[in-house]
Amino acid sequence: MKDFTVLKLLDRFYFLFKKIGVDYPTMRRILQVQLTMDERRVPTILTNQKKTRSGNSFKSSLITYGILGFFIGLLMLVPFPLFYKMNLAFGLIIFMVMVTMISDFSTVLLDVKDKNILLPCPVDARTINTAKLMHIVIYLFTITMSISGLALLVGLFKYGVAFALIFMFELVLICCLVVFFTSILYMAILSFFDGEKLKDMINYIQILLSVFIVVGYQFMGRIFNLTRLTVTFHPVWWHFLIPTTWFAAPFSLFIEHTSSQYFIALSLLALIVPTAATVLYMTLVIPYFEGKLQKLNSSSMRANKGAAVRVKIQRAAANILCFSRTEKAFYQFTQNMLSNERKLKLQLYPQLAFALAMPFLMLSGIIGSGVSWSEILVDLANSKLYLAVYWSAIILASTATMISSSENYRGAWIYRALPIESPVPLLKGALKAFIVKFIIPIYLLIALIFVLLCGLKIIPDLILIFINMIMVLLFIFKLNRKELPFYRDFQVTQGMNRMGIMLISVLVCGLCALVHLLLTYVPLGVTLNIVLSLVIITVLWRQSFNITWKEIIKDAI
Amino acid sequence: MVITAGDTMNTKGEAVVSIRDLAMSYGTNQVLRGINLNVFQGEIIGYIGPNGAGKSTTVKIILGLVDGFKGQVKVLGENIADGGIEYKRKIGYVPETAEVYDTLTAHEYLTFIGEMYGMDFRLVDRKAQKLMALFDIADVYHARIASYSKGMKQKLLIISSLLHNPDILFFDEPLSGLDANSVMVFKEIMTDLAAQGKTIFYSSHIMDVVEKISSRIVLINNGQIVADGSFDQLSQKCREGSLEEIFNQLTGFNRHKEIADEFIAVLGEA
Repeated sequence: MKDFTVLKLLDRFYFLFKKIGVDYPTMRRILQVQLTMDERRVPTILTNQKKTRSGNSFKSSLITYGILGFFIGLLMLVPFPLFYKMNLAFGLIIFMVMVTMISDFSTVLLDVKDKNILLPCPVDARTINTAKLMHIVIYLFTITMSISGLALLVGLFKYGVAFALIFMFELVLICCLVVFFTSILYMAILSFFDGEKLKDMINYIQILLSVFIVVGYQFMGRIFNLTRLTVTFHPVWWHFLIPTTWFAAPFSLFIEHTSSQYFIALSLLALIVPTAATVLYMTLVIPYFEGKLQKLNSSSMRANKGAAVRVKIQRAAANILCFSRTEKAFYQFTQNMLSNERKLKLQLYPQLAFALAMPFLMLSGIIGSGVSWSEILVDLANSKLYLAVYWSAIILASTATMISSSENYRGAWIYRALPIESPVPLLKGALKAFIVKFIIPIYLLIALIFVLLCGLKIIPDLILIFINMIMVLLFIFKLNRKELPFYRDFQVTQGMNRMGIMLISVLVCGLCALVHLLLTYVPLGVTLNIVLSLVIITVLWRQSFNITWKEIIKDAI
Repeated sequence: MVITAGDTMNTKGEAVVSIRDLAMSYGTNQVLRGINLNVFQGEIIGYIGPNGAGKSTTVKIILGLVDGFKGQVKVLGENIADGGIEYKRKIGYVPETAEVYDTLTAHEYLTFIGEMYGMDFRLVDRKAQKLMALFDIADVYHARIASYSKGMKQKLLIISSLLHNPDILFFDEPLSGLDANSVMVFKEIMTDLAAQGKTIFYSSHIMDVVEKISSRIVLINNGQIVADGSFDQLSQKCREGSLEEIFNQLTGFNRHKEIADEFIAVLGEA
């Protein structure tokens, strides 16, 4: 097992650990094992890509972060005031660190495996807990450094040593803050729920946070009024609530020497909040948190009251939508699997949320341009802006291929063991279930909002968009390799990768949108288009499901 | 009905493990309802009971994996509630559902665990390699544990629990996945360890094995000890010929024939 440089660095702080009663050599050994195992783990940021050589996946994800860092570095060169630049830079950094923390390090934070293996050994709890904290901090710091390394260098040359020192120091503070926030968040959930429910909640929180951060970032630029490249900035009370302003303020204060009480107050916050958070974390959160973690293993086996009703509704839907008995069975199987697959949800839900937000993000450019709300509504009602719904269609149509991934992919042996003549009803049932469970509800919600904005007259257009979306979905399904539902692990994405699928989705949806737009100028054009698309769907449906077991087995190898 | 072995047991000096009024509940579910047990040096205790009776919970409490119990547990005279960890140096543990760092190789894992017990790296490495060879899995010493078969993993766990030459052993279903030859080797190992004066806590659902290897059998049902004694003592008191039958009798189960018949009948339903 190799000796990590970071551990040698940590050796310098030997006395610190000894002082708080940690068995340093043991902790170091635990960390060494953890780091070795992480090298062999595939981080979330890579799960969408082809499987890289196992072993170096963390390093390759660092390169991804590095590319992001490149843009932050470039940002340093732009001749804006530092306060503005650093706000954007820290926004990006905190965003990335938070996302990585939630997606990759929740497993570390919530790991009880460690305890099961280490507690039977003569190692005290304090050493185990400190090892855990150091493990997380080491990683977060590596990631933050790879994101902000270039910015640090550029800043060093442009603004001098003081800049680099403040920057480095603040990165450590940011790491501490992120660890603190995440654990507080999880602790809050842990206090109210237990076992399986808890893991579900964490899954939802992960999803919610990633969505929130993605969408929220769109609005970060609006702290400032960026008009004709001159930045005007007026302090407002709520700026004090945004952490990026705390961390950006010291640069204005020390590098640009703009001494205002406002910046002094913000700089103090940058120092006080993370320090207080760390002290709180060490003294209060850890002991409480670790106690609560035991709950992770226990689950109350209470039957879900709503389950019986849900099954009835599902059965009814299956009877209407599916024809053969096998198809019905797989329709229900897929519905059940989809509601229990945490990992799949983690990937799918942000996409769905994005599909929901996309048209509005696209329209927000118009909304932000200083026109009044009533004018906007009038504009919307009279324009063809409802075509923005195609943005949702792009994303929704591309999600259906996700059902072939599963965390329980090992259970797929059952498909081979079952006496099923053709894989067609199996695939049909699964695809129908996916459309009914995820695509239709989200689309209905989007459609409802657009009807409220643009009026009832766009309903035929929305129906057309829906039909086109299903058409694109089938098209992608046909092009993609034939895979059974829940058949493979998340890391192994063979066949078309997500980018390829998105690209096709963009192209075909774009084409559909264009035809749609042109036909709106023709009388009865939309109706004509609906008929046309329905014909294409029928043909595609027949064609796509002309599959034998042989093709699936061939594709699986 | 509680069957105890009488006085013969209490003459072996101080107990290695002593449990007083041990109670434990998860929420409203009371798993243990007052366990009292003294375990002495050199005993092989067959710790048996139906699923969910509280066997694993007892072991986890002794090892300090589970908090929040009531009562007193002493291991080698040390009260485990005092938070000391020294007693763990003398304990080896094979859990029922074992978690392993399976992205590590056996070499990495075993040396790591050995070092956690304060052993020298080279010593553990040498011992681990030899033990792996004796279990006939020397060729996978540098392969990742994730690639192991069930039996290989079980052998690894057994080795990992014994590396530091502990005095008290907790084996929870240690034979699962082992082939017949390895089972013979392992049973022999257990007998020899006990002869050396090591204490073994053996918990399993395979009654034949428990019957043969245990010097003392403790049966737990609904979180309470319902029988405690050597196999001969238990079979005399219960007037049954095998441990399986004693188990059925004491856990109040005699419907196995009926249930099997009904089961077959359901299979035939059209």
